[in-house]
Amino acid sequence: MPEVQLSEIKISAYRNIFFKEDKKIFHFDSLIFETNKHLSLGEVLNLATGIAITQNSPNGISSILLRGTSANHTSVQWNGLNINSLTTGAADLSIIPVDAADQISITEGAAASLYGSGNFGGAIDLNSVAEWNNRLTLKLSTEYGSFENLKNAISLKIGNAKCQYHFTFLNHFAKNNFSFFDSYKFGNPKVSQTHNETENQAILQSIFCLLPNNQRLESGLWLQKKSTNIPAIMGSYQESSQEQTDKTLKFYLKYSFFVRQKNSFSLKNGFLQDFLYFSDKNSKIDSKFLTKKFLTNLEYTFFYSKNFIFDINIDYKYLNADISAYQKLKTEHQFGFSTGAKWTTKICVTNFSLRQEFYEKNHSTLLFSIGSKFEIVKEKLFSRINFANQFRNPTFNEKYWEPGGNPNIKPEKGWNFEIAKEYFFENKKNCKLFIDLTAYYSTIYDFIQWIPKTKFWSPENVKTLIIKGIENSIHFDMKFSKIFIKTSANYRFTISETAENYDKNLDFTGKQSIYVPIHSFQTQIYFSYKNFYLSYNQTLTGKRFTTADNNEIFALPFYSLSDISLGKTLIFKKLSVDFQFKTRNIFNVSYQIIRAYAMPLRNYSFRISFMFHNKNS
Amino acid sequence: MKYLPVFLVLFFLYSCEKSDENSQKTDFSSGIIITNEGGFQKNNGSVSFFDTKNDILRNNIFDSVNKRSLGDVVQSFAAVSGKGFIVANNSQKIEVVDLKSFASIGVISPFSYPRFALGVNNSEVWVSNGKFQGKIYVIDVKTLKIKDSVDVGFGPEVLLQVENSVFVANSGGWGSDSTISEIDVVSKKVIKTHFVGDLPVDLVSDSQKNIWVLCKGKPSYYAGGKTQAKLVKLDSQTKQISLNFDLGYSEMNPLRLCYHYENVYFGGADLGGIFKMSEKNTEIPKTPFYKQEGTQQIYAFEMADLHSGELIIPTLYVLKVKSFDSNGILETVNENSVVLKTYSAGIVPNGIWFY
Repeated sequence: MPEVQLSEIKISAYRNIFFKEDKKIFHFDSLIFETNKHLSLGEVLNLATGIAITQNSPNGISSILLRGTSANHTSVQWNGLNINSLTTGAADLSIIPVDAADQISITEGAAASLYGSGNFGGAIDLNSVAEWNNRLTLKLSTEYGSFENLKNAISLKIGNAKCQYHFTFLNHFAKNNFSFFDSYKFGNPKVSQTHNETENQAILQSIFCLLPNNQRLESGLWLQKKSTNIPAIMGSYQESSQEQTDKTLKFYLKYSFFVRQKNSFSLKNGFLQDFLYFSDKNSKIDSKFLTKKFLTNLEYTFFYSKNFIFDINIDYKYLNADISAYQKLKTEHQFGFSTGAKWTTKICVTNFSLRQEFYEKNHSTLLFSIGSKFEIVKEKLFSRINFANQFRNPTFNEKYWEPGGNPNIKPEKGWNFEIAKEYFFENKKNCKLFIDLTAYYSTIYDFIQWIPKTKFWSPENVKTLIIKGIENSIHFDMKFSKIFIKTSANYRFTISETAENYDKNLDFTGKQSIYVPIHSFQTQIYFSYKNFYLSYNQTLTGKRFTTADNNEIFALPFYSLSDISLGKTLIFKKLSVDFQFKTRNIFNVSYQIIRAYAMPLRNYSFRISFMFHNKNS
Repeated sequence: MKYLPVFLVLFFLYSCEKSDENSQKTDFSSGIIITNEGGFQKNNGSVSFFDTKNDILRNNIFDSVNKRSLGDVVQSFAAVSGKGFIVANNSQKIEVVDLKSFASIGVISPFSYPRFALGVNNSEVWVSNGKFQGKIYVIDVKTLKIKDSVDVGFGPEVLLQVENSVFVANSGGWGSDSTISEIDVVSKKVIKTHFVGDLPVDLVSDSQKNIWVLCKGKPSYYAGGKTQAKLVKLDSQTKQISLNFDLGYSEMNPLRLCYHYENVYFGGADLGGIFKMSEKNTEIPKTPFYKQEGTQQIYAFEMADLHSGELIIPTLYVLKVKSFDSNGILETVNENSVVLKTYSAGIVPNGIWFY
């Protein structure tokens, strides 16, 4: 069983991660990071897990529909700070580079008692982690691909046993002028995409310091600017003039200390600023959205014994949105109070957590989560069970957008039940097998949707959504002499349907949520021999409806995409050089992730990376 | 377990069903077309054909016949010389179909923002175009080419032909306007600009060839604040405003106007319903002929005679919207405001076209 250790690492672990052995968690391993370098978080999630991601062009706005929910039902946490948009409640995964974190994990159906509002689907944790035995790691890489896609990255990690500093610079330019078959035009002509350029620069820095007397200081800074031209939809006869620029500044400072091996205190402050500029010359539109979040978090953890730990957490948020559509500056204060406990025995870990959120209007219900992971067959078969309630406070747009915003809208509520089996097998010849089979059932009451009203379109609590599904993951690793094979497969069966519409004029009972495939499947096979490697990835996405009444005519059909990478790594003592050639969409499939938005056919890229690594042995 | 991937692939292939479309051969030469604009940027606009003989509303007829989607924001329809002209606003095109089979015979493009089409005679279709400063394009029905254009006001919308003049409602588009352009059909010149009220959106003529204009008024989100919707009558002789009624305030839902047997019908969801008044009245009615109720919003309407055997039944056709992403409805309503029947239309139905 996972053993709780009273170590420095645990002091620094975020409580969201600390209290969730009972949940399904997908960790990105080093192979995923290495084979998908330079991609956005949205792209990697789809490639590595088969999770439904919507995206309106290769570098366009990207949203996650985790476990049949909407984009604003999954939070993205950067070192414990929720970085979802204050206005829409969703995170644009296209602007989050996978290189932005040292560890990435996805918790499906994450508990609101740990993560707060808006996690019906789950939560994605991006964490920066210090490697204390690192002395110097320098990585340089450049990639050039089809459609004038140029990506460069520099990463530096330097430090000693007491202090570590990380620096990452990313630069990406793409013309994205790919060809596609425009099935919405007469004769299904092959045309070239226009007005689809993107430019993205990011700088990330982290510093970790171990101070005397079990004190620790850590800080992170993330600066990014992304400018994207938004192409016209398929079937259009006029070039788009829409452009979007996103600028973000994220910062946090965390101080923690440990007293007498029993008590841990931490104080974290964060500041997040997002600026979005949207323009459309053809429509004479210039819109600016500036939002700021100030966050403070105070946490106390008591290590009563090796087997019992509990914590208390208080957080405060000041939210500020300067958006012309809100007519005036909107601000909110939010408080949260949480507590959690972990009880570990030889065969079981049980987590329990509670949270109450206080808003200026509509406080949350008392949020709770209880779950266990227990051993059935020693070191081979485990079972997980979890029950939690959920909550989503309406977004700023839903409350304040003029015209139509609804200040009296109720929050969404619901609950989630999950049961799972995990099977491990490992033999002496270095064969590893892991199988996870998870079933879940969840509800969302008072689901919020924009609907036409007299005078305006307005958000309303329109329905109850029931989501149920089965997820199966299989991972198999084998090492034989100089051959290493790593395979994984993920299958998802997702029913996300309306159980009841509160307005009988909008009766979509039994209809599947839009863009949520009932079936999806992903598999990856990685093969390496000496310094050569080959990676093959296939995703299958089932039919998706694009209308609430599940009109077959407007449904998007099943599609399957295949990517292949071939590479060689040359190692010269502490320096390694990696060459990789990748072909994406090798079978030249025409497909749309969002209806009417074109995606590229077969395309190629070549990457060369240098890494110098000096560790303290 | 080793057969699991094979099973999954077969399972997916099996789930990839093709939609079973209506293969019935229908003659679309004359009848009633409903345009359904669809969701913005979803390319799911469509047209429906109201088969009055069989009392069936056939949806997605363009898609069924031509095996492709019609376009984005399908705005209007006109029938001229056996050809149907379907304006797809956000696809910046006009799809031209053979009226008998509804098979596509061409695409006219590019426009910047096409809105409404009018068959002025057997050889010309006029199309209003523009988000801001607008134009009327003259299209040759035979060659399907733009052969002329006329500059008009901001955001030209509905076109109305009265004898040798075409009147254009300059709705303001994405800006603001308060005029009607009067164009001579022969010279294709603007012969007069009539000032009416803020954002004129619809036009009809009455038995005396007076022009009735429905002005939407500025919604509350316009700079300078909101103004009242108005119903304005332009006298056919003097070409001056002879009646001017304040109707209250409207916001985002469309307002419409139609004429039938010496009565003017006007309104929309934002005004509380559809009002009926005699063309001879000098006061507007206070209660609607058809009331806006519930959450399905009135989006368009027309009054026409429904031929049922030898019976002629004056019928109000009302189109209503449920949501951005689901089918709307068509209601037929009799002269006593009683709903006769409800039909499922396409997504966001916005216009009824008799031809």
